Amino acid sequence: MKQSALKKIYIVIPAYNESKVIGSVISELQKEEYKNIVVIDDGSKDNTSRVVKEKKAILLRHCINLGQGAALQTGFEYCKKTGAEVVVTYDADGQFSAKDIKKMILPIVQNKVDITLGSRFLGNTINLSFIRKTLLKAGIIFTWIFSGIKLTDTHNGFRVLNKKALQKIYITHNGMAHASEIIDQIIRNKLSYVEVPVTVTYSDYSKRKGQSGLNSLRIVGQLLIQRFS
Amino acid sequence: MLASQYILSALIFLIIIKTAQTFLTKKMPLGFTLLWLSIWVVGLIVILDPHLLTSFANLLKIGRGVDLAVYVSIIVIFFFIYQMFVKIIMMEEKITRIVRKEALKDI
Repeated sequence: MKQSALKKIYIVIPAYNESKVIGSVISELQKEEYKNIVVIDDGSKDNTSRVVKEKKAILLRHCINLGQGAALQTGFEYCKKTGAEVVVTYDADGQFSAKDIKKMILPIVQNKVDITLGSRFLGNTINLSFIRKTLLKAGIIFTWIFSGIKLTDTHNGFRVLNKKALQKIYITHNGMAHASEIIDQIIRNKLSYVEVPVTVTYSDYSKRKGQSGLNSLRIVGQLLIQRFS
Repeated sequence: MLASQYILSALIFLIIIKTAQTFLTKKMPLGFTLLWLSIWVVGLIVILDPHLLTSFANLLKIGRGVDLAVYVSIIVIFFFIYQMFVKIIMMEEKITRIVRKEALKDI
């Protein structure tokens, strides 16, 4: 990819207590020559901010923990201010492969769609447990029922937005329910989208950091309350 | 008057005094104070004259006064929970805006 094109791509990474892995995640992205790596430290109590600074990535810091949705929106606001053309949302726990970014970006730079959504079920999953798979499938059905959109993977943090999508999408759910909110906003704002196969690797670390079954129920509760309030 | 009526009346008096104190120290707005006081005054009347509540319940085709009290209490409690829920969401939005502004202040 040309250097001028790379300059307009911003990788937004919300991070909360990720000091153990955030360094290697940034290094992997830098190896792929991405220049604008924006980490939003969402009020971490560990050394996440220090590691991000050492890696010379862009650091935005929430003074208190708000949640992944809020951190993503802060990243989006930064991207709007700095004139980003392409925004990649990326997880901090090392589950994604930086090599997948190129194929995620391709439909955007070719002006085919406004947003690409990573799909682990079109791509590969490594070490995905049965319980997690069941919860993710339940999320797909939930989204299908309440949003009327049939996706193969609704709670994947790997997405790419063009400038139009960046302007249209505004996350109000501070917590994990933002994933469903983004899908709702894609439909409401008539943004074009495509799912792209990606590889998601579950390590022991990412499994510990991931959503518990109980939290998944909480997310469903939050979504239902917002939908009917 | 029964002993339970004395105890409950005393409790409500304490609540009314506490509400008045909170209002006087300007920690509670007038509208909410009046609403809160009126709820407890109604409670006090009902405790002092339970037949009044039964008569009113009969008017609404509800058998017992205590049933009416339970129904009304549930509605009022749910209303307050909803109000608090909305307030918490609004407060969370305000906190998010402040934290975000702080995070982006040097941009």
